[in-house]
Amino acid sequence: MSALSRASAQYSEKIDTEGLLGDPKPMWRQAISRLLAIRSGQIGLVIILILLFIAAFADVISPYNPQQVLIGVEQVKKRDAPCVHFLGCDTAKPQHIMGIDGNVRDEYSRVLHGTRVSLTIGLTTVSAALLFGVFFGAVSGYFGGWIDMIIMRLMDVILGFPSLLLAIAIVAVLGPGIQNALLAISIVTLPQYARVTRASVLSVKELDFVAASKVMGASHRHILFFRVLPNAMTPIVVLATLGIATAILDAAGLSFLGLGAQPPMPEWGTMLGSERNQIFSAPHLVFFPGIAIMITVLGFNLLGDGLRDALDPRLNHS
Amino acid sequence: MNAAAPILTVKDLSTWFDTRAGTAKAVDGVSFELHAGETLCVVGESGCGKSITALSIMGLIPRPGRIVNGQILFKELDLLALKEREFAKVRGNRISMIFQDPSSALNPVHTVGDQIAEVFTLHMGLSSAEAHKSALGVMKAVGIPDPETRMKAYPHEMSGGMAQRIMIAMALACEPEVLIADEPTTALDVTIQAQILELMRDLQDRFETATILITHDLGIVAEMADRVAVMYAGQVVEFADVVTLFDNPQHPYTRALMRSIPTIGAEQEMLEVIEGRVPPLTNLPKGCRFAPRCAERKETPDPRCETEAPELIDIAAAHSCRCWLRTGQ
Repeated sequence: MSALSRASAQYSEKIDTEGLLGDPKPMWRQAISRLLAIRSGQIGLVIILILLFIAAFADVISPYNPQQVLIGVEQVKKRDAPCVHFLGCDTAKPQHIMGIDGNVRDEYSRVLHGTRVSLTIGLTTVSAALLFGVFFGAVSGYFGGWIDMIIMRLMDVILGFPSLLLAIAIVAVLGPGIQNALLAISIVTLPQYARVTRASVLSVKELDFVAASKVMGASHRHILFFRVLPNAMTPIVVLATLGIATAILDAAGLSFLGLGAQPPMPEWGTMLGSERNQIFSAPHLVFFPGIAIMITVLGFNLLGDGLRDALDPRLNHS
Repeated sequence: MNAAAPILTVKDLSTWFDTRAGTAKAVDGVSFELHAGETLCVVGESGCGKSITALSIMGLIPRPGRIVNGQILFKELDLLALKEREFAKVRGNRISMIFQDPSSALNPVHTVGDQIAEVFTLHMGLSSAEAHKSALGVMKAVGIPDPETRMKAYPHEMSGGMAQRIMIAMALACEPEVLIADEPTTALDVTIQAQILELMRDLQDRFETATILITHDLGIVAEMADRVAVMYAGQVVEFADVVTLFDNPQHPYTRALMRSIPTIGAEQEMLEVIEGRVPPLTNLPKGCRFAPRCAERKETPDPRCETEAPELIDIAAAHSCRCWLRTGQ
C-alpha cells in the first residue's frame, strides 16, 4: 500500500469516527481527577477525610467517655498536664495525652468528640443556608424584576450587619443553645449564597442553550432548576466548601461566648471558653481545642481553594 | 403558487426595542405566508431583523423588546394571544427552532441523549426509558454513527457538525409542522455545511416540514429556498421565488447583494461592496431606508426616495419589491 493511500485510508477512518473520543467520562469524575492533581486540594481532602474518620469512630478511638468525671476512678487532679508514656511520663500514672480538663475529664476524648460536633455544625448550617440561599438567589436572578428587587433588598438588609454580631443578636432573642446558634449562623450566611447564585444564574440564563430549552417548550421551573442551575453550580460549590470553615469558626465563636453549645457538650468553642482564664496555668486546655479548630478550618479552606482551581475552566491545568 | 391555506401567516409584524438611544425598529411591518413543505429563505446582512423575526414567531423576544403590532397565525391559532403555558405546548412540538451555534445551544452539563429524550418527555409524556429509545431513533435518523455510544456523550465531546445534527434531532423530534433555522450552518466549516443542508432537505422531504431558513449566504439560498424574502433594516424589501430572484432581481439592494458574490473563474481585482452601513435602527432615514447607500439612485434620481417611504408592491405575479424606481412609473 502506498503512503498516499494509507494516509487517505487513515483520513477517511477519522471522518467516520468524527467527534468520537472514546468512553465519555462523567463531568464530576473529571472534576475530581483535576482536584486530586492540585496540591491544596490533596492536602485539604486528606485533612477532611481524617476528620471524618475521627468523627465517625470517635467512640472507638477515644480512651474515655468525654463526659465521664474521673474523680475516684483514677489518681488525677483537675487541670493535670498531659502525660504521655512514650515521651517519658511515669508509666505508673494513667495516660492522658492532652491532659485533664477543669472538670477532671479526659481532654483528648473531648477533643475527638468535638470533631463530631463541629463537622455536624458545619454541614448542617451550610446545607440549610445553601438550600434557601440557592433557591432565593436562583429565583431572583432568573425572573428578575420586582421578585429580584424584594429578595435582594432583603438579603442586603441581612448583609448590612456584621455577621457574628447579627448571629449574637438572633441567639440573644431566641435564647442560647446549639440549635439556635445553628439557625442564627444559617440566617447570617444565607445572603452570600443567594448573591453568588444570582450572579451565576444571571450569566448562565443569557446563554443559547437556555433559549434552546425554551424553544423545546420547557417550563420556567424546569429550565431554572434542571438547565440553568447545574451550570451555575461551580462558584456555589466552592463557596459552600469555604462556608463550612466559616460556619465552624462562627459556631465556635458563639459557643466561646456561651451562646452556642452548652457544657458539658464537648464543643471546641465551649471548651476554649470555659478554660480561658487558665491559659497560663493550664495552657494545654486552650491549646488543643484551638489547634483542632485551626486544622479543621484550614482543611476546608484548602479544599475550597483546590475546588476553585479544579472547577474553573479559565485557569490553566498544566 | 400553493393555493392551500398557509401553515404560518405573519401579518404586519413590528417588534421594537426601547433603548436609551430611542426606539429601535428591529422588525417593522413584516408580512409573509408559509405553506406546508416549502422553504422560505430570509436573507439580509447582520442587524436587518432576520433573527428578531424568528424570535418573534417563537415568542422569545428578549427584553426590552416588544411586539407593537401585527399578527402571527399558526394555522388558525393566534400565537400572540396565547398564554405562556399554552405557547410552551406549541414550542418544540409543532414549531421548532435550530440555532446558529450548536456548541452553545446544547447544555454542557447534560448528555446529548438526555437532552433529546427531554423533548419526548416534555411533549409526549413518555417515560424516561421510552424517551431514550425514541431519542436513539432520531439520532439514527439524523445520521449519527454509533448512536448508542454517542447518546452518553457530552456536547463538548462532539464536533460542530455532530452537535448540529443533535440540535436538528431535537428540533425534529416531535415532527413539527414549522421549523425555523437561524443560520444553522454559519458556525460550521464548508464540507460540514453541505452535509447539514443535505440532511435538512432530506428530513424536510420526509416530514413535510415547512421551513424558515435564515441566512446571509446567497449560496445557501440558491440551494435550499423555494421562496426568498430579502430584508433590509427591519423591512422586507423584495419577495420572490428563488428562480425569479436570481434571474431578475429588482430591488437595488438585492442586485447589489448579487454583485457582491465572488464568482469562481471570473477575473476580478476587487469584490464589489455596498457602500456605507445599515442605518442605525433608532434613527432611520425618512424616505427609503436604503436610499443613502443606493447606487442606482445616482443614475436615475427620484425625489421621493429621500422623502417618502416606499411600499412593498407587487411588480409581477408573486414578486414584490419596495422601491420607487421600480414601482413609481
